[in-house]
Amino acid sequence: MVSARLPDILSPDALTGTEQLIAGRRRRHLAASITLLVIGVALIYPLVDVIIASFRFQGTGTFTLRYWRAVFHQMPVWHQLGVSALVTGASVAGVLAVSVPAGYAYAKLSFRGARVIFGVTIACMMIPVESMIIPEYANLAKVGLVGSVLGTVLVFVGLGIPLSVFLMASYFKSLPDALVESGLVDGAGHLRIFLSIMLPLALPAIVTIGVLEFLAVWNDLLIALLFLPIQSQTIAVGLAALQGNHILNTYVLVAGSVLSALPPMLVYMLFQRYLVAGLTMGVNR
Amino acid sequence: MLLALPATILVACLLVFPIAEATYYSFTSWNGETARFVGLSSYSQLLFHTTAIRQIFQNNLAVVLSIPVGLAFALVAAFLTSLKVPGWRPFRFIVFLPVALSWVVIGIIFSDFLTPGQGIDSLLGAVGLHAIALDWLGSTHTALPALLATFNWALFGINTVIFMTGLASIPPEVIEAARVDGAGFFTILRHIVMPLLGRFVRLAFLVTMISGFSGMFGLIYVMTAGGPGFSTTTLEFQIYQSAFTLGNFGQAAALGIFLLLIMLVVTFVINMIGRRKAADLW
Repeated sequence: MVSARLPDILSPDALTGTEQLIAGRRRRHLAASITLLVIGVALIYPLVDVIIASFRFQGTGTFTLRYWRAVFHQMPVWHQLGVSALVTGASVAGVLAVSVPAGYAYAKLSFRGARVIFGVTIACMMIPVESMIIPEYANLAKVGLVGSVLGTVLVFVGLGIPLSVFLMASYFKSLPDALVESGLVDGAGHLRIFLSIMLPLALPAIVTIGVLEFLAVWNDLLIALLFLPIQSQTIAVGLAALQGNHILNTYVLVAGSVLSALPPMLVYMLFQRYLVAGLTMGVNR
Repeated sequence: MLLALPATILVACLLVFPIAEATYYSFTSWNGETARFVGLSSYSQLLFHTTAIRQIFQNNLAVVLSIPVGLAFALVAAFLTSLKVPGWRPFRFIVFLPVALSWVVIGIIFSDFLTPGQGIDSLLGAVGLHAIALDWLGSTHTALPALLATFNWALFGINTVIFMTGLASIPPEVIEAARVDGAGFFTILRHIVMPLLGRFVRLAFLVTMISGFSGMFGLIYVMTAGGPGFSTTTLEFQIYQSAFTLGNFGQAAALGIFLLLIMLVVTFVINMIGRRKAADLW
């Protein structure tokens, strides 16, 4: 029974007769397929159940769009989606602008203090947001950046840099040094080599960190809650605040939630393989 | 060097400096503007004063301890998916999907699902378990387990995908060679697969831990607001409460330093375990 759940290559009877092997493999594969189906259905069930309920009138069987229509009247969804898009777009651009060159510098150039600074930068991945957010809030309040989009984007960019620099550096390290050397021989400077040779080659990694940052910012609650102006909230904050107040019908909130999840879902569908790559990019090196 | 300068400046100003400040402020009585040095008083207050803080630490411990359970499920799913049996691609798509959902959305959906009379009750009713229909989020006994289940549900897919990559990275020849040498199935699993998967288990654990900081905050904010009582308040949530509800920034800073220390200790332990002969672990 246990062997039915494991890769063929691991099963003790993989060297028995060919026919028996094929029959056994089919049976095992069928069992595995069914198990996957059961797990998949169990996992997705809460989502589907709640979303279907949002189309039913007061939990009865009657189909209705009232909760879905109500979202647009009872929440400033378009404004909030706009704020989410603005903050997310600016943060992704900011993170890419500073992390990609930094990753290149740490991977291919040697300069004084590079190791230490790189070490400190990636160690910051371990800092819990909540540990630094209180002084950060006080600091930005002093320079008037609390309650502004700029301040919010700055905080997101700061938080996104460590992982992005780490992933970019890992990726640039995997590109051959000969590319840089041949560029130098041809008389190009490091900036030139970076821009015209390395940047195009690093596109997959750039997409990966862009997608990771997009999801992190779009889906964030705490930073947007603290740093954005009260009248311009992201959709995540808008939903969370309404959920806490118990003002709106829960199915209106569910409808709003699904609506807010559409852009990240689209990104997920388009870039799934970059996400998968990004998750394990650093681990092999 | 200039290429790394902007990133370095931002990291210094936005991450390193605030942590240094948090350390300093944790020794003060601070309301966000004026700080008065009070030595270790914030810490001693936290450690010896309240029962709430004990509850909060227990809750954080529960979060950390729930992670291996979630990882075990993900490992099983990854094994199955690695068979590349029919349907594995849709399966991966579905389990990985919560990656795209915000903690707020997940919180709203599960709040609704767990409301008495809603999804979970109908589900339990359908399989004849009316008796365990509970107010999952409203009771001090079930609120934290319900949150932890939601949390691990959300990260199940990420961990499954990490383990799939790990399994795919094991060279088939190694296993073949072991089998030729007469190693049985469990021997191979224990002495080859698990040690080679070790670093992926570490990665999954750390990814889950780090996601936990923003994740648990979002779930708690949306689903329980830390209640009933303090039964679902974690350090992350209490930091927010201390600073922005109670205005006690000094205490919030001290709690933040605690959280950082916990993170460092857990990371250290995980790495120590990894550095030991990985086989001993299993």
